[in-house]
Parts: sequence; C-alpha cells; structure tokens
Amino acid sequence: MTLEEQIRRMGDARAAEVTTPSWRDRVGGGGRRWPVMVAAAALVAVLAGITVTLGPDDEKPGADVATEPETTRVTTTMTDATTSTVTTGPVTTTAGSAQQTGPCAVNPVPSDDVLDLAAHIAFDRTPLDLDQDGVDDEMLIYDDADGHWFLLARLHTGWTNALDIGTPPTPPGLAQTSDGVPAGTDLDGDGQLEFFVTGYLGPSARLVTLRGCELIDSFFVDEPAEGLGASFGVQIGFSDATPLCQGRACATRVSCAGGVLTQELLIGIAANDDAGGWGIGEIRLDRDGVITTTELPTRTVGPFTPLDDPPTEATTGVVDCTP
Amino acid sequence: MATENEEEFDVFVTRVQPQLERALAGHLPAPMVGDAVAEALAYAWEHRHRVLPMANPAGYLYRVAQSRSRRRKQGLLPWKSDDTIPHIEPGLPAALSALSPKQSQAIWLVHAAGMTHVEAGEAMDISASTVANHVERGMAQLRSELGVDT
Repeated sequence: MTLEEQIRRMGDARAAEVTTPSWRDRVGGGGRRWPVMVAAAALVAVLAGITVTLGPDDEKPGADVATEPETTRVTTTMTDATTSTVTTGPVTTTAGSAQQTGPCAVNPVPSDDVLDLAAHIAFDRTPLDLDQDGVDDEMLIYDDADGHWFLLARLHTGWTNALDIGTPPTPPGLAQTSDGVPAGTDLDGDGQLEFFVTGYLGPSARLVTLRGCELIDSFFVDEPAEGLGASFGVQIGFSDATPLCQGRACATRVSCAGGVLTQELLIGIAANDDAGGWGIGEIRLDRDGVITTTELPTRTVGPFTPLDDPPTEATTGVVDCTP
Repeated sequence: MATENEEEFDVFVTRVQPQLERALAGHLPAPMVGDAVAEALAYAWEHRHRVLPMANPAGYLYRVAQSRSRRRKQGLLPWKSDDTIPHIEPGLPAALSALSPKQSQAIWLVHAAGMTHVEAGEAMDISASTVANHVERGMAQLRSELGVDT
C-alpha cells in the first residue's frame, strides 16, 4: 500500500469518529449561542419597557442620517495587530433601539455594580465624546463572567448601550491609535463616531457606529479572515484613491478600473502570514450597504509593524467599479 | 416540507459534508469537527447565493469551519497511540505530524480528504501550485523518514 493510500486510510479512521449535527440547528446563529441570545432578548425587553415608561422622544441630532452617509473626505484608521474576537451570526444589542430617538438619556441600567464591571473590564475606560456634545463619555469592553464579551458605550447622561461582540478579544479588540486610545473616527462625516472592534479568525472585523441611541455594526466581516497568522488588521477609508491610512501603519492606494470611484467606503482586509509578512488580501466596497469584494493577490509588504512604524512600500489595488 | 431551495442545498450538503469532515478531522478533535462542519454548512445556507456557485465551495467552507471552530490551526492533530490503524506504517502518523504545518495540512487535505490541489489551495488560502509543492516536498520527506519508496 502506498503512503498516499495509507494517509487516505488515516482520513477514513478520523472521519469515522465524526458525528455532524444538522446544519439547520445552526442557522441564524443558533446552536451554541442561544442562551446568550435569549438572555439578551430578555434584557432588551426589560429595557424597552423602561424606555417606554420614561423616555422622552426628542430628536437626536444625527439620528436620522444613518441611511445616507455623506462620504466626502478622506478619513482613515487602522487596527493594530491584535486579538481573537470571534463572533458569529447576528449581533444582539442589549439596549437602545431604532424606536428610541431621544437624547439617549434614559437608561438606569446597567450600572457598574449590576454588571460587576470592575472585575471584567478588559479595556481601560476611555473618555471619548461619543455623542459629540462636548462632554466626555466612555467606552469599554467587558465580559459578563459567562465568557461573553460586550462593547459598552456609556454617555455622560447615564445612557448605556452594549453590543454583543462574542468571545474574548485578547488583548482587547478596540482599535487603538498610537496613543493607545480607542480609535473613534467620524468616517462618514455624519457627526457620529465609528469604532473598530477587531479580531482574527472568522467574523473578524467590525466597524461599530454609535448612531443616535444605537450601537450598530456598520460592517461585519462574516467570513474567514485572510491568512491565519498571528494578527489581523483592517484598514478603512474612502475611495478617492488617496492613501487609505494617512499617517498610520499602512500605505495603500486603490484605483478604479473603468471609472472614477467616489463616495464609497473601502475596507481593506489585511493579515500577516506565518512568516510575519502582511499584505492586502481583499478590498471591499460598501455602496449604499451593498458590499462587493475584490480579491487581490496578497502582496507582502514587509513585516507587520505597529502603528508608529509604518511600512513604506505601497500596496495597490484596482477595483472594478461597475455598479 | 422542504422548499426547492432546501432540496438543492441538501444535495450540496450531501456532496460537501463528507469532504469537510475528512478535511477537518486532521486538525480538530473529533467532537469539534461535527460542530464546525454544522456551523460552516449553516453559514453556507445563509450565504447560499454566493457559496453554492463557487468553484471550490468545500475549500472555502473549510476555512469557514476552521473559523467557527474558534481554534487556531496548529498543524496536524497528534495521533494517539491507541489510534493504530491496520496496514499503516507505525511511524507514519508521527512523521506526518512532524512535517511543517503547511506540508502536513496540504498532504492531509489532498490525500486524506481527497481534495484537488485547487480545492486545497482555496482551503489553505494559497495557490494550487504552492499546495503541490507542499505535498511533493512533504511526501518526499515522509518517504525519507520512513525509508519507503512508494
């Protein structure tokens, strides 16, 4: 028997031990996560009740701009090499709702005591003016002691919202600036900040937006990350073919085949490989919510470097801009 | 009653699931393989309009399953002594595990899971020619280690 045949037999032996449950039980993020989703749904119901009871309905500036973002300027950031956030399926927000259009002032829970946050905060509380009203708010990542992780935004008014981000980011998965501050950036110029939560493997890269009273996953990579090396990054910017990451650890230019590409959001997925090189694996266009992906030959541009030591060689990509 | 879509998808599952199970069984403990495959197939259902037309859906779903298993790939799964299989060179599992992770993975996907080089390339996110190189060099090393010609 040849070695190839023997290896085939090894495959037979291993496969014989496998029992695969029905895929139907896993559709919609079911299966393993249902207890969390049930708990989150219960919390949403409780908070919705509180909102109905107490909530004013004043218009929140910027709350209605979600559907037509203005993408008129180049604004970029990039995650550093981090983490292992892996989340699948739909994201559950535990507070706030599309119906709540008030100033996000009503939400007496969760408090630190209720959540026992002191023991579970994975990222230092960070003062950020989340709602752009001139007063610092805060954002942090915590776990609920059952191993489930949340990105929490708390306004100075006491309004709090948490986004289920799945399993632990290690280290914490908020993208950071070179100053170690979570990178909240108003990418689309709508007056609301966007944030990154990143991880390697699986649904890895997320762009979280605080919009009105909601934390929204504006972008959610529900696909395998490029490469499976030690780190993974996302870079994001707009499509006027300027460098996506001004002053940051990337040097990427994208041009457009067959036309001028403006106003669309570009998201480049990069990852380092086992040898320590990294490159741009694909570029995505978000055109009014429709994501199209252009895969690029992964091109190593040098060892993965932290934000303060950017590679100098540019990676370029051409995107088919045909709508 | 299953819809037409579901029936079509069931045919797809029948074709892809065994290959996924075999492919993942080299790198994941058996209890995790079933979960990972089910998650990958659920993903395929949810994205069926994109996944089904793919040239190499098995390779792609292999990556999805690996992701869903929440376990980083770390080469071939160690072969326990009580896993002895008749007619297998006693040193083969250990020699296979001792190869570089990419070589052992390529050999496993191609010879144990029956993937083409193109499918294995999709699964490993490398080119088919690179898969061929890994397989060729890995098999040569195995033959050298085990002192066999075939």
